Amino acid sequence: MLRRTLPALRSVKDGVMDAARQAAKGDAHFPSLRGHPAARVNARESAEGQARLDAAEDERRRGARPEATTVKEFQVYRWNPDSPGRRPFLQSYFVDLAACRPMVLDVLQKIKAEHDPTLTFRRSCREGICGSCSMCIDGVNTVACLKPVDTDASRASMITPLPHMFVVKDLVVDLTGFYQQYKSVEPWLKTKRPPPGGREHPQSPAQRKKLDGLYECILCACCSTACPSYWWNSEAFLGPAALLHAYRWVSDSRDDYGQERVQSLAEGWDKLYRCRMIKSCTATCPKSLDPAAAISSMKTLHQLRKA
Amino acid sequence: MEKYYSKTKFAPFRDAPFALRGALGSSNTNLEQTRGYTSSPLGALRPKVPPSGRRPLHTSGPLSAPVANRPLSPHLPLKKPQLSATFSISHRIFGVALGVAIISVPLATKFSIMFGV
Repeated sequence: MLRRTLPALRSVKDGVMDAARQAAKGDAHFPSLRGHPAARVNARESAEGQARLDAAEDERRRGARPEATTVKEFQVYRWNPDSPGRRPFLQSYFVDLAACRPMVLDVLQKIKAEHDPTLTFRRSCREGICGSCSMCIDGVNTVACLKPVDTDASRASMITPLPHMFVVKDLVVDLTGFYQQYKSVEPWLKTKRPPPGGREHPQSPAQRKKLDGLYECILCACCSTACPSYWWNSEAFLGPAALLHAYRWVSDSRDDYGQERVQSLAEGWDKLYRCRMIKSCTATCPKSLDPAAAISSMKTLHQLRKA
Repeated sequence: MEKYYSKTKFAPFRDAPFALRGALGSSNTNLEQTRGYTSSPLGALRPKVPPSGRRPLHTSGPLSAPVANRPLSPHLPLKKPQLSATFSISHRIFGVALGVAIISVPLATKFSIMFGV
């Protein structure tokens, strides 16, 4: 399993042992999430968090540890376009996690319902398939509906909009440029011949398998807004999400314009080669996809054709 | 069970008075300028097309109206240090340092001969 954070002040041996143990345990506990490390981490965090919450509540009820609390502070980024003179600020909300469902989106909805109806955020499906509720939670971009709350009530969680985007209101950012970039890779099937049977282009299971890990992208913009390259060059660089989709069409066996697609991406150097393999996109993707690998394969394709 | 993100607590600016406001905080450029792809002098004559085109894309509200004073959301001080990004930036830093070290050898030689040090 991927260890995605820097293990601070630990010996290598500890890290290796931990990783091995966790990998074994994860396999035992969440077999249906095989091949999806992000979901597995979320599942484990959620289970542990709920267990900790239950323990704290139990202790408090028995009077063993009356200071055990389940009320946690959430610092949420606020900015209102109707009072533009006011600078953005972090507003603290105190939410009782014992009376709330486990995900960050549930917390936000509780805040909106009970504390402050003016809090603004996008959400739709609450199960990680629409990509609306993407935001930066404790410094990592994820979709809030799949991210379990860190139940450690002693420290605050910080919820901010996607980094380095223009804020429309509170947690809502302007994704117009992002969608324009997606549109610019022409994300549709382009063929030179008519379909052989007259109706559809057949595809073998092996050819279909090449699209696994590419078609699942939900365009939540977590990867693009985690990319420092994209921060500094969001007009020129297409960003990991759009490039992942470009590669999805390049590697589709039914598409006849793969070469032209790569060629047009490589033109002007900016769109594709601004990627510096920082790999923040892969580290942050809530769907466990690997945009960095897709981009590097497109670079390889381009270089091989040039040679 | 050990927590997954165990030791890397995220609190770089906990005591700072909201350090997120950032140097790049509130830029006054409007959307047309920041997202413009062309720099043609005829650009001013062209009718203003909203960046989402004619069709309302994802937002049906007046997003394409000149939006001034929209703040940039916080980015760099907020990012949780991750292994990949840390390797990347340290690779660049060490590369620059190595380049400076290498280039300084002939330069030092040249100037030491020139000034007879």
